[in-house]
Amino acid sequence: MTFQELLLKHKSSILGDWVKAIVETYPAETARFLRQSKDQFANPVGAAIKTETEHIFDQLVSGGAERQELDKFLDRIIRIRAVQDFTPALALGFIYDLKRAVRRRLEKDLKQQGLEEELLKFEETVDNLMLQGFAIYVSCREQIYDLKAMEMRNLYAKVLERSGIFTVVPDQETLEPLSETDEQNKA
Amino acid sequence: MHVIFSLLAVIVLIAIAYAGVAGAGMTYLFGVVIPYAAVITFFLGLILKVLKWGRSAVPFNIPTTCGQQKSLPWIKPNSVDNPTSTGGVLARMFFEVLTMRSLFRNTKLDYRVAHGQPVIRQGSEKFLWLFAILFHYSFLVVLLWHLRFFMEPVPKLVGVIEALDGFFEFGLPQLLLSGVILVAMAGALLDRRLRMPNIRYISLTSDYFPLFLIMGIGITGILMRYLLRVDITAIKELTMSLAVMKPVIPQAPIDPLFYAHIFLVSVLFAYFPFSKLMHMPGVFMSPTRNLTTNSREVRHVNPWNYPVKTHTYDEYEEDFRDLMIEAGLPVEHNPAEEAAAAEGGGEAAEAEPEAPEEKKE
Amino acid sequence: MANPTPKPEQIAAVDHKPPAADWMDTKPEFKPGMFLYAVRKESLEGVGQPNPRDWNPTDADWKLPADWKGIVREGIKERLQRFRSFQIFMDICVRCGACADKCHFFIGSGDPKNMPVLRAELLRSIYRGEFKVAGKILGKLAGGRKLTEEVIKEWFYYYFQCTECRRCSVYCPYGIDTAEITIMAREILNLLGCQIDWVGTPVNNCFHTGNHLGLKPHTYKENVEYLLDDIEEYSGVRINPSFNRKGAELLFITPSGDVFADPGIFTFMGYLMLFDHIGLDYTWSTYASEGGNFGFFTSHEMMKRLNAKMYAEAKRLGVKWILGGECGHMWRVITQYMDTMNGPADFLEVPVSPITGTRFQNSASTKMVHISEFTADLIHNNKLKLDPSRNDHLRVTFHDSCNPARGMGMLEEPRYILNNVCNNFFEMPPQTIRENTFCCGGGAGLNAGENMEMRFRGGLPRMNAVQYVKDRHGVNMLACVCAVDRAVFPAHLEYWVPGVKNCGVTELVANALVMDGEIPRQYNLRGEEVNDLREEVDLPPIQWPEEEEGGEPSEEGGE
Repeated sequence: MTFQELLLKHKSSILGDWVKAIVETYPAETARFLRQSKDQFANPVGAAIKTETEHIFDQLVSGGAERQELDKFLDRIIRIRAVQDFTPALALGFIYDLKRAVRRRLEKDLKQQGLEEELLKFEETVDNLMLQGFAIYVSCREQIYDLKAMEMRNLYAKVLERSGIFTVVPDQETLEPLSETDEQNKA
Repeated sequence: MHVIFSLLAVIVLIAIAYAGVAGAGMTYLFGVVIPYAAVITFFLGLILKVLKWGRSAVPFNIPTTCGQQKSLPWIKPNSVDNPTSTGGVLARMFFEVLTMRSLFRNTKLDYRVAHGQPVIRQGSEKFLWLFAILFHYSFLVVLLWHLRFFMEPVPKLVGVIEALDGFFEFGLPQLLLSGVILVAMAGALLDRRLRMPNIRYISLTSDYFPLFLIMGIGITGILMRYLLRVDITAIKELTMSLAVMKPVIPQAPIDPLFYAHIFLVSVLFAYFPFSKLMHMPGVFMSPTRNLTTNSREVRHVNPWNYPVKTHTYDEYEEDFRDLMIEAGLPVEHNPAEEAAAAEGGGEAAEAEPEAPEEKKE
Repeated sequence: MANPTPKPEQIAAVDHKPPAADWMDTKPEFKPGMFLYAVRKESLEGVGQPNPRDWNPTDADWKLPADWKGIVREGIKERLQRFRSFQIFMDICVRCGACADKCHFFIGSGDPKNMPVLRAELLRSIYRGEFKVAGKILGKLAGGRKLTEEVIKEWFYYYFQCTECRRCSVYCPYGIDTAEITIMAREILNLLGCQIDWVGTPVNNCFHTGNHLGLKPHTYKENVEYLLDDIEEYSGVRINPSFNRKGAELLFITPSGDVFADPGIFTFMGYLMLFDHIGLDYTWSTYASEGGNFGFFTSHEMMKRLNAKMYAEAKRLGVKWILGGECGHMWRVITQYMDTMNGPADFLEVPVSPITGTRFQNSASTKMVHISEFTADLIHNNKLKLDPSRNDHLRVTFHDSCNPARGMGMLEEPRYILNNVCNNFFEMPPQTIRENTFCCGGGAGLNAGENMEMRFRGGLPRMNAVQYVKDRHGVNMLACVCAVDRAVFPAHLEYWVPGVKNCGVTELVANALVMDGEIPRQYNLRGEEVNDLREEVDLPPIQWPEEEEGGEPSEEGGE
């Protein structure tokens, strides 16, 4: 059995472990709600964790993981954690939890079949995933500060401009809430 | 802590009754004095509490609107969830109290991905509603057929209820479903409290205690009826004597379990007015449910409405008069014009726009 | 987020194991981005509120008044007698948990104290501990606790993390309304001078200048004039509204935020165009220039003090009745409080639309009609010339604002309008609209700048539903009838659902309005070229008449 096949075979248990680890970063009273409530509208956080972890896993297993796709999936989880009560480390730590889950479920099989090398490679992929996640997290935080500034500007700029206190009219480009690079990052 | 304390409390209560009757032979205390005291406490407490609530004012008309308002004639209003008439309010309260409608509203959309396609299904989370409604109705049925112990002859209605309740015609004496459902549902509600971490987090001793108490009452009742087969004639002799206010402890001995049962019931009655169980009368008095939503059409009066300090137009104009004149905004008093008018002739001042009359009451 | 990065072993130590303490023993941590700034001293002084001082929520000492405990006890006692809602909601909760997962702040933050039941218990536990015999003696066992400064801090943190949206009260079997409890808690906090700046300062501004930014009368007028210039530029129609004019038939009052803040100004332009189109005899007031009432987020008394201006101004100007603009909590106040507090408005007449003759019997006593009711009636009677295809580049969904939905029940009117002014309208999932609507996350004074992360959490459930209709139907415009929504949504959408914009219903009405003497409407009210917008959604460009083609918005296009 190849490493990939092993991953696929244990997919549900690995994902189960991974989701559990993520959900347990929340208070116990909340964790249950996140895990149990199936309604994606009543429970958007839980739904995002569940669906996106699976997407990420599938991408990684498929071999030809696409960076952009991964970005999209990671973004949906990290965007939420970036505004919740987490330190940056806690907000992103969930990515490494995938390593733990895989090791825990596959360790025996891998030893038996001499596939430890493959595991190391896989863990390297997860390390890269963390770097990707880091970029997303930072861009989310930057965006928050950007938006704070934008809001202040929207609130007062027009008044100041019209009362003559603000004489230089900023052009449309700079009034856009996002810089070009942010747009690209998100695409 | 909350759970264990509550459970212990109920066990201790049972033990007290057992010890009191079987040990010390205080049948009169447990069979007569305490039940009377409990019933008096119940009614007095309930009435006083409801009166206290009633004394508290309803200053504003604050119903939660859960449907379309009555506005334009061609838009269909939702006269139950947004009731503009007393009839609508009665209907709303009817569904609220008898069908626990708001709890039923606890629906959710079930969203799943099947074969790569999102599938939406109208699922629901009705367990809480189901447990609650079964619990309350079985409680009611149990209460109703207990009337047979306090009435002679037994009213027809009680007989009918009993017949329906024993529909399955199982066991001897016939199994009455309501008692079993009552205990089972109390158990289910307890289980929910214990197993769902967020519900457990919010639960207090006063949430567990009534559940254990009611389970205790139910279980002692079931034991008496089906297992110990206590002396039913003696019990009825006692209960009838209580009902007609001539209490007598019957000659024939009654199992202490009966005293435990009646003691727990007494505790429940006495505890009722001081606890969350007051949601029973409270639901009728909830201002977000029992008011009409026509407060734009008919003025709601606040009994303690008091005058407040406002910022009048005059004060406002006083602050900004020059700026207003400069900007071409009309003003009540224009000093320049007034001066010019005064020069032009004395009576011009009379022709000034009528003095602003809006003084706060 | 200024916390130093923890070392790996620290992470391992804290990771995955949230504190398992009882909620009474966990205290809130005031982290930047999560809490709101304290009100500045001058703002409290300006309206004569107690205990003005310089302080900060992160301070250890909040400089409470000497007898603060007595004030709180007395405050609770007084309110128990004055408000049956408060008394009953303190007594009858059975903690069934039906409300637990209904709060947008709980859903988005995962903080258990954001469960409505627990938010209420924060106050209820003091009620038991200080007023009930069992609570006094048995303490925690009876669900009671003692009043400490920590409790006040906790109240400040959590009662300014409730938007008074009433969603929980829809699902409560006893109709317990957390908004009502939050209102009481905030009143009590205000007795101690513990107010947030984004409520306290707008209150002071509204009181003195009539609007929440503190714009003086001439600035208010100037702002409107700039909007008139924009309208002329984009539509070719010059409008001349009146201010503070006596003898007008109607007085129009809307939230002042719409006069100067993006994208509310476009809704404001919409009002101006709509009223011009139908030839309405109305006036604006600079004195009563604020429909929104931040007093509602302070105390019943402050709400009354600010709201009094509406009737006072209507009386001074001698209008027949009042028309009100798109605003959320303003309409809760008008529907459920205004007439009771500041009425009876017997100097006004029962509103009758001067255009259609429709009598608004539903507001026979308040004498105030909602712009959506008014516009829906106009459309129903064919009084508006509309070309909904002008909004064809928009795929619109509608956000029910909490207060018009759950404090009024105005659900169909805006939908009727939207269906008449645009051709692509899509509903969000049923459990997220109408009486089940999710809050924008910024109501009740929480749309300040400093708490943006907290707001984003609160806005997540709503944004999640928007994302759904964006993915499914290509929705690119979120319409609403609330000025706070319009202040809050731009940032929320940018963060959660980029590509979707936000507007007021009346903005879309005005874009579809065929005005007398208008030039070809190559530009929408935002000054965006319609053909650019059409291109974005793969619609063929509109061929404008020769003389206008490719031109800049013409300066001389007046007549």
